[in-house]
Amino acid sequence: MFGFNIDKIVKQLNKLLDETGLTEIEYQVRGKKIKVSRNIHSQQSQFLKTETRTEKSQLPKDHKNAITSPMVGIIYLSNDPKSEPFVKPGDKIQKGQALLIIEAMKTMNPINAPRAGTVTKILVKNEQPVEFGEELLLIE
Amino acid sequence: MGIKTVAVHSEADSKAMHVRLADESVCIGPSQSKKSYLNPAAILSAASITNADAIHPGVGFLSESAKFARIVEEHGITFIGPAYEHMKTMGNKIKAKEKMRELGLPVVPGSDEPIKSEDNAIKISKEIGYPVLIKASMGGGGKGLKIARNENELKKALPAARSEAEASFDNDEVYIEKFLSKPRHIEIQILADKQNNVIHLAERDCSIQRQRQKILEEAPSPALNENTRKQICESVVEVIKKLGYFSAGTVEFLYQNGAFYFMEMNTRLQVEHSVSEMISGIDIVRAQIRVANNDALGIEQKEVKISGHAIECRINAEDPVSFKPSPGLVTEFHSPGGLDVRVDSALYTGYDVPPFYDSLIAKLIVKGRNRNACIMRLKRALEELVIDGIRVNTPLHQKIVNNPSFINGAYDIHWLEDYLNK
Repeated sequence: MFGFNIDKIVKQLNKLLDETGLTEIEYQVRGKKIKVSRNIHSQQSQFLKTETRTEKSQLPKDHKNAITSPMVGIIYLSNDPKSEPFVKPGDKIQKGQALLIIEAMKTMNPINAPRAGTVTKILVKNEQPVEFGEELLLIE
Repeated sequence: MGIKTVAVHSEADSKAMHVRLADESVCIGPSQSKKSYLNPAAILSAASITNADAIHPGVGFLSESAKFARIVEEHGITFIGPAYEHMKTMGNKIKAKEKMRELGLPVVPGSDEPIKSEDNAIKISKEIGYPVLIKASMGGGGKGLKIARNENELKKALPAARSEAEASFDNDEVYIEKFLSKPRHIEIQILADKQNNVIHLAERDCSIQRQRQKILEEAPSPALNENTRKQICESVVEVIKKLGYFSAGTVEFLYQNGAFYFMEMNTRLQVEHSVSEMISGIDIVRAQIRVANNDALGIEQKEVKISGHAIECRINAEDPVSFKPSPGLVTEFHSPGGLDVRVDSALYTGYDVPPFYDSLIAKLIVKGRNRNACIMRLKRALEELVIDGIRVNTPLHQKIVNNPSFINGAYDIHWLEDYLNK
């Protein structure tokens, strides 16, 4: 991707800095290293960027269709490790139907559909830890 | 200390400072405290999914819940605080007084048992002598207190105190104490490890209060001399040693006419712990963590050097005159600096102070080589502090530190309210 033309590398790294908002990029290949950094303006330092550190859903919050977690715990998509998952994308579901289980403090808590509809997307993986309010799946 | 952290927060606090600074964060519930910060299951769940080794309960909320401390330990997680048995004993104010009296501390005269009936209350009040104070047994933090100056007032105050106690502490048990007219609130900070080593970090004077809430605290107290200080601190250390208590703790007294009366013990870190840190150079939270890790305190009383004077101003998000709460967007925040000027706060420019929690948003703590120097430095720091966009009580603090009575150290727990009511 990057040639050994210093000007070209610096230009490309600079572009990366702008695009990502990073302050410093260090690039090393076959023993040659180059570092590009930018000065932070004093105004910028007042505003801390809200970067999420944990793996959270990258989808924009789709409150209308999303089922959110009512508690902190671990997700299980099926009743037990050997069973099929409760639901798959495309499934038509009834109100009250079991969608997944959240384990909290050694108790299993079934999460049931608050309304009938079609499961369009499952946003969490099996055994994924979730926090209160985290989006779990989308139902249309 | 190189320890990774998980910040737990309610939905309302997702942009809070501690959430941004921690290594990980977990949203534990909606804004209502009962469903988030006072929700043991949610907090334990968060500890479980992050594989946390220990929980620091902070100040307020579950920090004085013996039940919570026990559940945490039962789940194999270290509770950074005292043993839950001590939290339980000291959490019941009647039992605490009994215990401390047994161990040799002077206590405020009062009913030795919960009040059983109106007649019971009248009899005891006659014995102690009016005026009396009706207090919630499971109370604390200055809440649920009613004064009765005579029998008629007592008859009215008793049921009122009970319902307030029920509402605030889930328990309508009350007891009666002699009402002291001009006491100072003086408390002793102690630190102990699990090997029964105990030290004190001298006292704090927390008499500047409004509606029983501390507004400004200072250490040491301008009312005590070296002898008095030594006596009370050593008595307290002896009692803590006998109890076998460990972690941080504060023993609170009312001090009037040269006599100390034990009031209650706080089995947790206190908001105003910072003034004791400033005059002793000892990091109390760090010590708590080390003690929880079974490390020895590593410092003996004779190595503790108390020097200088420190004052803390509690900066609240409220109107300085009407005291109406003032949550909202902080459009500008500038923290004062310089030697021995410390600001403990979660504020930043652009932070939205939520309306759901306590109005305390910053602690301004200043140290000086003596009380006068400290006051001078504090005046400058108060002028330098900028919090725009919401109302704060900085002007109230400026009034206090410029007041002759305060400057002379001549105040008691009623002083601030008397001054405000003039």
